Amino acid sequence: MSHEELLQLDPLIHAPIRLAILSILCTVDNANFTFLKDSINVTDGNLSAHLTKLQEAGYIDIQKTFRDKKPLTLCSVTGAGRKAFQNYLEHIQRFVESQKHDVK
Amino acid sequence: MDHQQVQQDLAIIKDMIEKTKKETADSGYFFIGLGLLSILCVIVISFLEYKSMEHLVVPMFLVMFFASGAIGYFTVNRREQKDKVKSYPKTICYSVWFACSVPVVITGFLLPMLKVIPYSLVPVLTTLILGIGVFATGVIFESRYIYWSSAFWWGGAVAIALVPGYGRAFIMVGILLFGWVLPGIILNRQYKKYGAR
Repeated sequence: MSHEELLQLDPLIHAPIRLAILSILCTVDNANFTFLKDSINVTDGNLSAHLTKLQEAGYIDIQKTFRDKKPLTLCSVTGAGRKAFQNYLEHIQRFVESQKHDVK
Repeated sequence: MDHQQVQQDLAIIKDMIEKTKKETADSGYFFIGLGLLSILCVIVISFLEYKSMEHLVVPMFLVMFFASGAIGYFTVNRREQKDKVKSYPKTICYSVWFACSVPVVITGFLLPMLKVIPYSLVPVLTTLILGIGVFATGVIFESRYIYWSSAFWWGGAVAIALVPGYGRAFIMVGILLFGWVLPGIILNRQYKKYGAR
C-alpha cells in the first residue's frame, strides 16, 4: 500500500478493538456492553475507553438504560460510523487487489 | 499497512461476525410450538364440526389466538429481554408477522362475524396470508427451505378451496407439518449448530 493510501486509513478504526466493535455493531441493530466485552475479550475499562473514543468521533451511539432494575448500556453504530467502516473495508479490499496485481 | 495486518483485520471482522451470528440465531421454538398448537386446533375444530358444534369454532379460534400469544411470549418476548443484541433480521421478521397477524384476525374473526365472507373461506384466506409471512421469513433468515415451504401454504390454500369437508383438515395438518413445524426444526438445528447461549 502506498504512503498516501496508508494515510487514508482511519486511525480510529485501525485499532483492533475498535475494529472489532464496529464489526459487531455494523451487523446488528444494537448490542449491549456485556456482549461486546465477552465477544472481544477485553476488560470493562479497556472497552469503555474505546467506546468513548468511537462515541466522541460520532461513530457510535451509547444509550444507558435499565432492564429489570439493572443498568444496561446499549451501543449502536451511527450513519457516520457505518460509512467510515465501509470506507475502511474498501481500503482493505483495494490493498488486497493491489497485492494480487503485484503477484501477477 | 502490510499483508499480515490486513489478514489480522479480516480475521477480527470474520470472528466478530461469527460471534454475532451465534447470538442472533433464531431458536425455532416459536415455529415448533405454534405449529403443534395449530395442528391441535385443526383437529379440535374438525371434531367440533363432526359433532355439529360449529358454534364453538370461533371461541376455539380465540383460545388458539391467546394460546399462540402465550407461546410467543415465552419463546420470543422473554428471550428478547435476555438478548444481548438486537438484530435487523429479527426486528424485520417480527414486523412481518405482526403485519400478517392483523389481516388473519380480520379475516378469521371480523369478516365472518359481519357475514361479509362465509366461514368456509376463512381457512383459504388465512392460509394465503400466512404463506406470505413464511416466504418473507425464509428470505430474512436466508433459508431456502423456509421460503420454498410457502409453496405448501399457497398450494395448500388452493387445495383447501377445492377439497370439501374433512379433507381440508388433513391438508391443513400437512401444511402445518411441512410448512411450519419442519422449518422450525431446521431453524432449531441451525441454532444448536451455532452453539448459541
